[in-house]
Amino acid sequence: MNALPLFREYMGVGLLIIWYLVALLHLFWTEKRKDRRILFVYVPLILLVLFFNPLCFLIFQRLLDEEIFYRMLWLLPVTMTLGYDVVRICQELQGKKRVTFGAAAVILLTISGRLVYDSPYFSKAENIHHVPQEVVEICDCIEVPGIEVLAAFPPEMLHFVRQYSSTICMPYGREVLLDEFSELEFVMHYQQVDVARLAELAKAQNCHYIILSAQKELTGRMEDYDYEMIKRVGDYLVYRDNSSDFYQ
Amino acid sequence: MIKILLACAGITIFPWVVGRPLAPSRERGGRLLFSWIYGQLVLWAAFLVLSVPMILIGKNYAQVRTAYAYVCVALFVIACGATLFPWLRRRKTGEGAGADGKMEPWFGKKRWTQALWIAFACILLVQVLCALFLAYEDGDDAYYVAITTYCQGEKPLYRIIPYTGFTTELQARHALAPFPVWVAILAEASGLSGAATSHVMMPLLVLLMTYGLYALIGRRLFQTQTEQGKGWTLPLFLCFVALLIMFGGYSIYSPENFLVVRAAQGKAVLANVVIPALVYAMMLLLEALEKQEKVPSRLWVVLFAIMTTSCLCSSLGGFLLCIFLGLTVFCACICYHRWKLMVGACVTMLVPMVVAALYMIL
Repeated sequence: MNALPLFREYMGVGLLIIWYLVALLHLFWTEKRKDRRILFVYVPLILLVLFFNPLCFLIFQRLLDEEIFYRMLWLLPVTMTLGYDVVRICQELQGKKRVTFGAAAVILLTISGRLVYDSPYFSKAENIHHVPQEVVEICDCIEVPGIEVLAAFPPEMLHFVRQYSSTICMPYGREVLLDEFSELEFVMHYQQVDVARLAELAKAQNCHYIILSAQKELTGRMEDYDYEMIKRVGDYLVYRDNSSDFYQ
Repeated sequence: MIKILLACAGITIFPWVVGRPLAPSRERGGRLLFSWIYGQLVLWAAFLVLSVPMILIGKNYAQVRTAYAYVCVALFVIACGATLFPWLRRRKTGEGAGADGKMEPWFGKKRWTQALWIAFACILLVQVLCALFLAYEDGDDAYYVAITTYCQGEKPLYRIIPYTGFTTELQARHALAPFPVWVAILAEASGLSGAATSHVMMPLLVLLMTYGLYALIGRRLFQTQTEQGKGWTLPLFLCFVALLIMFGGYSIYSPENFLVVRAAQGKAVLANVVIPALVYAMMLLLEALEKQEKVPSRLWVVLFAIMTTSCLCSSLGGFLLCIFLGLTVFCACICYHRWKLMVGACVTMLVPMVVAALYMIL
């Protein structure tokens, strides 16, 4: 990997970085003040040279992490340079020309970027914690103040549980969604859940609770393995292991 | 509710008092913003210097929080003294406040200027409402917000796997940038949960600090124009900045994207507060050189605070800011033949250098 793919990823889907480079060149030719030239022209140009320099990339790769090399581009004052250059041009124009240029710049910059809220990961907040309400209700149901409990959650809830409660521990966490493997999570992940294997793995890890989606097909009854369904929260069933030392 | 209001006062009035002695006397009208933002940076810098050694030697959250409270009170008292004594002296001798009076008021009276300010306020309001009422599912929150949530009482810091809650050995590299611990102190002070503080309070704080900095930058960029009665330049600049932030979703790596979706994470604070704060401080430094004036000593204090805060936000932060500061000062040395600046710049880089050394060793 070299710096060019990282730069392309940083540019993303829009043209804003292209407009930034155009503004940079415009300032290179037109900016007269030395202090502004240093901040908005010389330093960014040197930064770009450093970014695309293979030696610099190699040093960064050895010392730190190549995947975060793109953060060097944060040092480019993209937003302020674009804003500064557009307003400067507006100042030089008069009357209708100024208004037309300002409006054109607004439209161009808007369509060249992408609305930051236009992402499938945004949703209406269900509570003040900005955590799914089902997670909040399940955590409130199984939480024991001052004591840590261990609960196996379905993969879609892994991100949120420990953001909301620090006393609920999990036998596996977000790392299984990245690169690590957990057989317990693997068993819970399938549409058809092997109850015998699930109970065996959960008991081996001293899980006090198992949270299962009601949409899953179970190969047997959880009750046959000393589990008791204590609550249904939305689409999820909360099972408690009555054989656990915790409840003896 | 009272706790929330007190916490809000703690992140507004408190930093404002701490930053007051650092504000340039020329910054007429902008002193309040400058004092608040840079005061907060000083407090963050103090938190880093205090918390990292304590975490590394195994102190728990309660000890770090208590020590930070003492340091905050000490900084508050020092800042009050540093503000009051010169003021009393000036009053006694009858000198002015030192404002050079070149800048116009923030809000012009012309209809176009007011319309632009209203447009900017509307965009800002939309962003604030989105921060309050829209939730974003970010994977990294499972790490950083979980750290904030588990920071309670006697619990050891950075010795627990945030994803699962199991104990582990010291996670040294993350411990070098303990921004989530500061968020935990804010959460405790406000009485809100760690998740609510991270997802509601922090986005508002970071958003307002970011726009505050852009307002200061815009004011400085267009100050000579406002002299000519072109008061519309600053609100127009801010409207463009707000639009660029709103349409900054072109890449998941852009600072604007970080500002909107990951405001509670140190990386977002680095990209949107600390880096613009450094740019603004460099503008002040270069302006002093342009006018062939002496660089004020308080500017070096400000730079020291910015460089130190960068380490609190991200273990890479100090490295990035050293590059920017080094390049800017190098260019300034060549353009203005003021080679002594290098010495000052090196001193401000002390903490990032120590943190970088620890990063390599641990």
